[in-house]
Amino acid sequence: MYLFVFFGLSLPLLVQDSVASSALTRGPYLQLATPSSVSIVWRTVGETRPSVRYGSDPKHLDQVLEAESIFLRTVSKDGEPSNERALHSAPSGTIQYEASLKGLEPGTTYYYSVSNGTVMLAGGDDSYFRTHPAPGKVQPVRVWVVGDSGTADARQAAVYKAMRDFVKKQNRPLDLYLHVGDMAYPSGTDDEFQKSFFEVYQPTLRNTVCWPSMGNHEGNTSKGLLGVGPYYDAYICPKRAEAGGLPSASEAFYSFDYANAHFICLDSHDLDRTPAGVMAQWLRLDLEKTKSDWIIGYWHHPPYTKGSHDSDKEKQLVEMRELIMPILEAGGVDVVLTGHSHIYERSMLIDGAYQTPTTADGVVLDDGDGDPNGEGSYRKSKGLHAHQGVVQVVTGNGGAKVSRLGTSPVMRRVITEYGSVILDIDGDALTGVMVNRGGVTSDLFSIVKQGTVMPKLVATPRLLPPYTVSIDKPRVEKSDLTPFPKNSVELIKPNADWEYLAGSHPPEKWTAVGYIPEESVGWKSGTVSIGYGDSDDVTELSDMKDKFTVVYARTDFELAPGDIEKIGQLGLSISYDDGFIAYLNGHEILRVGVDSGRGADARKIQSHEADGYEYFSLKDAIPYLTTDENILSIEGHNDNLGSSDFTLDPYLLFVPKAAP
Amino acid sequence: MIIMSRKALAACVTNPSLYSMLTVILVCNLADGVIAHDGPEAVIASLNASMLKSGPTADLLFRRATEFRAIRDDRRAAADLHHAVQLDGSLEIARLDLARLQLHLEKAAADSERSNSSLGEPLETIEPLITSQNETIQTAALGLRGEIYFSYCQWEAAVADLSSALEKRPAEIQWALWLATAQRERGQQMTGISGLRQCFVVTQSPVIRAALCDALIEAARLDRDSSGHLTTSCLSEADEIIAQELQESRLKSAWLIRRAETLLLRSDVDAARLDLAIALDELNVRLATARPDPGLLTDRERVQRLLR
Repeated sequence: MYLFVFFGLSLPLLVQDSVASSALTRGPYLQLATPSSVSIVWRTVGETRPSVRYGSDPKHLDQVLEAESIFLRTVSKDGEPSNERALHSAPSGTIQYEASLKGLEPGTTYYYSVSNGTVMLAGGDDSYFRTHPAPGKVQPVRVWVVGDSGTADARQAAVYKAMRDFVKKQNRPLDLYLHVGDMAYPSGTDDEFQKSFFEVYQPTLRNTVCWPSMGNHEGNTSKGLLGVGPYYDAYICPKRAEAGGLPSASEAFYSFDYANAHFICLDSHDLDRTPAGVMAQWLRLDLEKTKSDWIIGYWHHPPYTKGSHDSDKEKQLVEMRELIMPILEAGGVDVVLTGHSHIYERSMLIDGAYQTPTTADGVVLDDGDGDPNGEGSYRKSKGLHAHQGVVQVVTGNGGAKVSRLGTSPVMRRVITEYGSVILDIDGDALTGVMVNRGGVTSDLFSIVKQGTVMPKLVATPRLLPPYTVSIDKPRVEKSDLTPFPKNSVELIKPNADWEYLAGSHPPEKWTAVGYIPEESVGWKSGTVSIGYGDSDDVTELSDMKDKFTVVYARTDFELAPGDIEKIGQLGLSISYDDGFIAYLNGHEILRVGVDSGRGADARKIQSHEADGYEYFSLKDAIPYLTTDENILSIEGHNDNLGSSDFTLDPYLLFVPKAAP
Repeated sequence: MIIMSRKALAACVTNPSLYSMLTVILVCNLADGVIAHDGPEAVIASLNASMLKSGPTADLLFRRATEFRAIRDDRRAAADLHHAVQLDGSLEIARLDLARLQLHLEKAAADSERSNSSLGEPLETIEPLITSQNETIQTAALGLRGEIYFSYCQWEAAVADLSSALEKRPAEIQWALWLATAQRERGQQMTGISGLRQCFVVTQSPVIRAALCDALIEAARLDRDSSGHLTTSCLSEADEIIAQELQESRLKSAWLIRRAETLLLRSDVDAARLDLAIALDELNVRLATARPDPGLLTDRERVQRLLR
């Protein structure tokens, strides 16, 4: 970063940046853009004399918003009366600055800098914003959608990088950024927001507004009814229809317009979802008034999912489907974007699928893949019309571990990969792609709204095959060879999904937390046990015999703050054939039946038959545990290429410390 | 869902300001062995294991109640909250949640035969919070007690509590709606209308504006029925709202119905029927699904009633 010193209105002078940047603790980032205004938000520790300079020429920021016009927020000190705009929580001495620039031209790019007195804290070519276009103006719109990203780990970083590379390669920047919740694990605290959101996404946040929806993890510390908490500190959302739509009188749910699209954010977590509730009443009125060409709804809890959550069983998910979707579809919604379930799922063109459990009978308007290069785009009439179909997108795959329970009947695509979604709206066409963390477009769908289309239900829609984890093998019992501790708790469950590499060798760092097991180099996902022969494996490696002897597998598990202190004993339960080496967060913690070496260099593998789960204490591994994400990696070895069988079937246990 | 520790609650008590209270909302620590992103059943199983090991604690019960609610097992959730409050009487958030849940269960069980006796349980639960030292809790408790009274048609008590709660949080749309309804039920239509106007000034909420319009039409009707002639002040205000909304709205049925109501009050039956016919056509398109939005069904019933 460069630091400039302003002398009145003279041109900036380049100086060192260390002093000034140390004062800036968050941002600057953009919020609440409209055709004529935008908010710029940043934080410092300690008082400054803030100002914002801005203008259309990055080298000549000829307009100034002085300190008197910048809103300052701090945490109330003990004993002081609080006020509505006090920060809920922040490090000691934090001041949050909220500068609202007004009187701007629509659809115009401005550059900006923020300063403390004459010292520039941030600015330069990347510090810019583009005001919203005039309402209703038809122009290309690009939206990035990500959910459940707040892990602050390599997976989140990879998903973000993949999106940025995709956008850069196409030379088509983002106009909007929608976050569908769970942006700061595990509890949405101010510190977690800083590490999992602001520090990760700052390159985007400084020039693109993030329009958020609250996830259940933010709900641990923020309350929609009161509109307070770190989530509400971080964001400035419209309460009075500042960016279009109707006033909601709440930052928990809101709407805004961008070009010819209308965006509606709902709070699926902690507000009344009933049809007579305030949010539903507001939604009905908002839908009745919008005249945009497209309506896009977004919130956290998906109406349809069988990813890491089940929309047929969980209250918020069921209610969003049964109570909220009828309102949206009667108002002409086109796309619904959600998260919560750690997976990517994308529906066919559907309408009226409100029943529980969800069925595809009588609700599918187009059972094709929606791919313009495949079975064709989904078709709807031009403009907004009730019950012409919606595409549901669950994109809870932005960082938290992906997993799958089954297949929702209305889905056309179910992809257990990390990634995010980019929507492009171009006049009468909307295209969505899921870009996985490797940068590959894993799904593409399109909706075209032209002429008049008479929606017709597909009598017998083609459905995805049911998802079955074929654990129809005999249940593996605990071996008598090693005693299992009493009162143990599973940290990684039996028959969990692991990522595995079979038939090639990974780089040395494959056991590290930061390593990303890319599909492009052969990593797959499979349910343990992994192996062949003996008919005792769930994930069959039918090509292993005579070809290779090593299989690498890894999976993650998460620990909340304080959990490590509760662990008295850590142990590995494993059914194996023939030997294995286990690693925790990159450290070797156990070696059984492998005399020396690792991977391709492993030597003297002892023969061992899998005969039930055996227990191995991992008492020396506890220091390697970390709060949040942990990676358990195991390389399984066969004693020879021609062996008749191979098995790798682990799970992880701990025994809580006894109460004092 | 928020979870509070004893330490956090103690801090609440020493610092009762509305917003600082939330600074001490406990950062949710997961139960032993619970993966942060597990589904509710897995979390419940883990909490069960923890309780088997160390016995039930208020904290564990509160967490399990949260998960029971996620899987719509409200009775078990209520039982856990009740147990949690018994174990730790200072758990005000749990008590608030319990009262809300008890009200929900009462309403679900006895919706058709409400009586004073049904009030007992949630009222008893909420009572200690009315004098809470924490302003947030106290205001929320007042609002909830107002809701309880409102739900059981105890209009005078509802008006008192909701008015007090709204003084502290004047932008709370739901409380303003309940208060206006309770005031109307007590024959204080104009007071209710005045409150809605004030709330609209504060919030610009279209929900309040729609309620205000309905209240104005209702007041005009009651006035006509009691006095025998139609006074126009309320109707004129309603007309202005309706005209503006009809001009700006894409979907107009709700406002056409309201205009039809004003036309019927003026005995302009033909114009009213025309509006209602257009509204019905629009509603039928929006209702063309097996399980339509109940709000639109209510509108259609309203049309059919007016057409009769």
